[in-house]
Amino acid sequence: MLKLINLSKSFTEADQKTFIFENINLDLKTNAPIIILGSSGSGKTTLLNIISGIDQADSGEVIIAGTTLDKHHNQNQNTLFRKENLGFVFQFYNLIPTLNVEDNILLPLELNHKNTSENKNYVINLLDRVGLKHRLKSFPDMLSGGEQQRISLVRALGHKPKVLIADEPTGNLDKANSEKINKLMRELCQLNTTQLNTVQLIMATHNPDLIENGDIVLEINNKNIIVSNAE
Amino acid sequence: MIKTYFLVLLIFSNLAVGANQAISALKNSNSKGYSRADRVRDFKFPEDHGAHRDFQTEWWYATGNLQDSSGAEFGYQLTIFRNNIDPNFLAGNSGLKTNQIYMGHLAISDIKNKEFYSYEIFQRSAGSLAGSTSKETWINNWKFNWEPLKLYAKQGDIVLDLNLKAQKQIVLQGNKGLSQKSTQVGNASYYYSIPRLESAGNIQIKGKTYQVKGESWIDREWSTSSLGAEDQGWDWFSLQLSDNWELMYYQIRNKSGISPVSLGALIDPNSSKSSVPLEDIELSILERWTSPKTKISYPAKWRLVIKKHDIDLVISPLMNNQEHQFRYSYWEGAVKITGTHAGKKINGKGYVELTGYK
Amino acid sequence: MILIKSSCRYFTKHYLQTVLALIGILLGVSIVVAIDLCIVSSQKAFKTSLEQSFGKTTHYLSASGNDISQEIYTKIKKEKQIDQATPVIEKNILIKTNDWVRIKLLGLDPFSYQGFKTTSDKGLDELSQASLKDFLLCDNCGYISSKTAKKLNIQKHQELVFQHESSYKKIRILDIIDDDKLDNLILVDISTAQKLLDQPNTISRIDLIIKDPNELGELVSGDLELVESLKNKKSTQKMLSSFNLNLYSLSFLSLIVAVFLIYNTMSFSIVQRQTIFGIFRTLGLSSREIFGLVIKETLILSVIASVIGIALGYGLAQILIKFISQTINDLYFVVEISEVKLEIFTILKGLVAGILSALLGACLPAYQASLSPAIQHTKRSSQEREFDNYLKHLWKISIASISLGFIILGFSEDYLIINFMALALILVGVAILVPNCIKIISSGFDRVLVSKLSPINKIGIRSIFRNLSRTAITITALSMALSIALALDITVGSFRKTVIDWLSATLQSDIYISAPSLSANKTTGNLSEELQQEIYKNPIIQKSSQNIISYRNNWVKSNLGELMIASIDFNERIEKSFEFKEKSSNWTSDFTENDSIIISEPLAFRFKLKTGDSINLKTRYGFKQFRVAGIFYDYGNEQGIIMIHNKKYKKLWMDKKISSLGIMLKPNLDKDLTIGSIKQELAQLNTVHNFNYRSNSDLKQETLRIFDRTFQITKALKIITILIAFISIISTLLAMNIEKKKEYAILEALGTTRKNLAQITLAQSLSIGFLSAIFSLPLGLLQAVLLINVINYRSFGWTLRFHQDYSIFIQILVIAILASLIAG
Repeated sequence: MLKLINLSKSFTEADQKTFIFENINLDLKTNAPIIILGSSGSGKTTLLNIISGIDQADSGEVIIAGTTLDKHHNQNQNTLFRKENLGFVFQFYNLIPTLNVEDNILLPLELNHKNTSENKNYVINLLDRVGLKHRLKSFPDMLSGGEQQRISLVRALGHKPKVLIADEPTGNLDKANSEKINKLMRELCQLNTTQLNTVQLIMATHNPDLIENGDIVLEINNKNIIVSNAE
Repeated sequence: MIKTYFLVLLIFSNLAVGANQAISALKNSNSKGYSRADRVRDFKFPEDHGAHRDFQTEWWYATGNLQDSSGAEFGYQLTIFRNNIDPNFLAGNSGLKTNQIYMGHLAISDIKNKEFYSYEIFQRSAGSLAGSTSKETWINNWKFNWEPLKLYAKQGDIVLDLNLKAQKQIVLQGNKGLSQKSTQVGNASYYYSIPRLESAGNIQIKGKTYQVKGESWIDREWSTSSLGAEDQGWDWFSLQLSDNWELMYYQIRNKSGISPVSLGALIDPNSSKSSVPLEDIELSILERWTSPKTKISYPAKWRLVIKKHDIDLVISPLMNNQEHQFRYSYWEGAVKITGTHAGKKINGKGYVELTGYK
Repeated sequence: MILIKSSCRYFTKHYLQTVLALIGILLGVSIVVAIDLCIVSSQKAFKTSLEQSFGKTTHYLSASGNDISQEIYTKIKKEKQIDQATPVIEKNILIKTNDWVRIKLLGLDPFSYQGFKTTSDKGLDELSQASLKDFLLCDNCGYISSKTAKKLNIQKHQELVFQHESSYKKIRILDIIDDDKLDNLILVDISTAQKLLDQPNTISRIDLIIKDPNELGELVSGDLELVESLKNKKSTQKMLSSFNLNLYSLSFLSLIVAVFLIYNTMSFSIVQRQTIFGIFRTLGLSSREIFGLVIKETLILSVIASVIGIALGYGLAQILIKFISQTINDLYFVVEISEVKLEIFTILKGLVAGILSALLGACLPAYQASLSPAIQHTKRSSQEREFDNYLKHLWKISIASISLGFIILGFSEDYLIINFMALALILVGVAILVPNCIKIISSGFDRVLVSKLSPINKIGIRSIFRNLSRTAITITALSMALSIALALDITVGSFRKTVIDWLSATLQSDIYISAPSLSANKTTGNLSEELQQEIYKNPIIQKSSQNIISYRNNWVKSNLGELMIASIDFNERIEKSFEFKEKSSNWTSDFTENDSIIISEPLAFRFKLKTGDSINLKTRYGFKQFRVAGIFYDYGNEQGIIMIHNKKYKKLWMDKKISSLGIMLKPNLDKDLTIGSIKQELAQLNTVHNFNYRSNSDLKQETLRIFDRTFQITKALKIITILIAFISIISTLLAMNIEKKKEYAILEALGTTRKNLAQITLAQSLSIGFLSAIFSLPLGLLQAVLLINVINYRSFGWTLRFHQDYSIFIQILVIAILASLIAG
């Protein structure tokens, strides 16, 4: 479920205003994974940042996870929204180097004041699911890229968000690991989806191999957005 | 340089000069050269109100219970002690040299506010700084005036200013005024009392003046070395009963118990005295109180029974802390009395002195 | 909890940084604590010593040197009903040993002294009852101290022969007491003193403890005078408080440097953790929470550092106390500081100082951290751009701070602490100009110098300008520290030079003879007439002296309170010995002929007196008006002094006593030789009489020795301040090098050797040191000017001639470069 209304974003360079996209509209009613496809510099990260409330659009609004993000929504509200509703996976994993695996994956629970033992068990189970329970006490710099990304996936989903935002999650991984992460992301989103809570995946990538059947594919083209269904 | 003043003082107070309470001094001091209380004598007044300089120690003792118009209770004590530190001394050409050293103790018990004010001063009987005649006895500004009877003392936070009127005649204690303090001949004092005096005047505490009325008791005693070697201390009761009788009782405590020389005196409304020997008196301690400062434990409630005279009294302090915390600490304070005398319910007030406790 | 864990891990991983930051706070706190402890203990010791010498006496009643009737004492006790009053007899007597020895006979009344006692004493319990009875009753028994017994060569129960007014008498020694307080006196009962001195009905004075001088009412009349014995205590305390304030402000300055240091560490840690904070932000941590996190970190660090700092300060105090007590002994009064005790209040002060300064240093970095954007990778350059923005505001803050400082200085005259605060404002204002100045000169510097360097060195030096946000702080901190050191040096140097000049001008006589100074209480000591005669009659002195100048110091009552007056024999050489701040045109004739006096600068300052003003002094004939004919420079007496012609003084005060003599030698004599032989004569005399004698150069040397000792503590503080600054250079370099790790890795990959990299670091640290030294010069000079002309003048009323030694500048430069070299 994602709705964009009259969304515009530009950047200014040497006094020249350039639009990344202008007045785009979108109304997706399914919870199918959304893939934002495009080469680097195409503006897909910008779109992702606006969707997740990290960045603000020049004008227009985003309706995501039942919340409207627009100009009236300030930074703090966005922060709170993110904390509760979104999970993030980044290209460079972005695990906290000064925390071990356990603390990294428990961090969102603590930030949301949900660190009950039940929730903790849930997170540890997720870690088991990605096959890294034995690395619980390791620090990020002792893990391989693939392992780090799997852990950041657990961190992104541990507090049961409504949306999983993934920005080039496989950008730094080899082919085998890419496939593994892609599969895990989808699996865990599925696993996390219950009657009360659906977890929607929104992923930005330049790699078309990650697209699966039933995904909704968005492409930014000439300040506009093109929607297609993958088959 | 000033420190030296202090050194001297330390030495001095260790001797407890003039301190009748300082039992060690009383026991150990050499009585050679002094007059002694070894026989019954004739008392002459007002001459005997003045000092008897040949005796080692002497005191003028006034205690009393007072009330202001609002009913607030006060106890007071004004005592002037005299001590002859050397019977063989001959006066020379110095204005301040003398063998007669005076000490004063002054206390007011503010019962309502549970405050006890007490002061100790020393002075030499020279340059008219302290002294005694048949008319008055004084140390600095503290004064016993006999004609008319007046007490005055100002020190620290308090002022005592009372006019007294005797309600009873002078009572000669012990054997016609010879009061035995140990079985040894000469270890005795000359002792007389005025057991009830109507008292009125002012007291002042921290600048606040109270108009007060009440009753006082005056004791006069002089002696030379009046305690036996075994003795540890004494308890002294001066009780004024509401039926116009008075009871004085002193007991000397020694290692084996109560010394047989301990004696009581019952004074009837006509000032006539009957001695009450120790065997007729049953005194039991009902409560004790430990001073938080000196850690000394004192008796703090008594039952006093004299079956022979149909007396049964409970005596309790008006407040616990009436302890003089001088170099030599002792308890002297106002008490109240309830009980029966001659089959009738009575009450009363009085003063109790407790020394030599540890 | 996890957040704190993350911080902990960060700080333990970068332990070097952390340790340096800790050391910064720790040193700051330890100085604050050490100085506070020293001041507290010295004040306590001061109080005790005062009580020992004055007891609790607030006033005493006397008849200016004459005895008073003991009836007065009786009246005080009986009529005036004064609780605390005690009679005293104090007389000098001559004891016959091999020679005649002058000693004090002190008669006291042990009874009434009870309320005057101060500290408890031990060890006298064994004195027997008999000896006390003797003390009171024996006609001639007394106590002496063991030292005095040795001096008089006498033992217990022996007798001394003494002379008093042409009659001989005996004193029997009851006992010998091991107490220095009893030195040089014989203690007897007041009645014994009366007897020994044949004054059966009189005493010397009555010591009192009273709240209201009016309590004695009409008793104080005629010859009787009620003297406030606390007066000296108050003025000494006031003197001491300005001395203490100077110490406090030194410790305060070291805290400022510590603030810079914590700023440095915290802001560096934040830059390094920008990514982590970015992730936190993405994960939903609000900016306020990030701010809180940094503050929490600082709190934990500062508490740890403060606790260690307090312990260290306690240790430091044990060393410092020696300097401080020495100084107090030299300048103010004799005091024995036996121990430094850690007080709860001091611990709290240390904690508060440490935590507050750390928070102060951390609040800007914490704010920066809270601005961390979610996830975007921040480049250093963006931070530098932000810093550029700061710089623009810094101008304004700086100007505001400086002008506020000067305004406060203009308005607040008397409050030293406010003056110091104003000084701090100006200092900080000027200091925060430093980054802007660096920016301005950096371009010029770059063009002129750096462009000519090899690329390797360019990297190092340019990185300083590129990373202004980091280096500017370090350079500012370092130049602050250096400037403080510089300012102290200049101030102390100027003071010293001024004192030397003054001494050479003032000390006109070749040999000085003075009475041993008694306790600061009453009149100053005087030379006995016998001694004066012996000196005047001495053939060697007679032969070689051109002039013998006599001085008399005394306290006089005036409309301005009790003042010190000095009467002086006046001649041409003396006339020249005065250097005037201002004077009336014909001051010499006024001074010799008319009712004119001259006053010293501190006195003029204290009471805002000018030439032509008048002072009323109480003479023997009542109050009399004197005109101020001039104000002369004087550095010998903080309270100020009045000079009067001997002729007039003798007449008006009928005081023929003499406090000191100055012997002026005839010209054309071999000075050293003559002084040597006169000294020999005086040494001979000194075996009989008790007095001090010093030659001109002895006196100068001693004065300077005391002076240098006084300022030794500033040296210790200087070293610590520099140490803190030094640590801040290391920490900055460390920070820069860690940040530049990648850059260096690339350089290394490109073939740069480790030696080259070391060169880069060295170039960096040298530039930092050099720049700091350059900036510290104007800063230090400004401070010195303010310290000398404002702070010093306002606290002591002394004009110091500004004196700078160029070697100080070089010294500073060397220190800076050395520090940076070691750090590099």
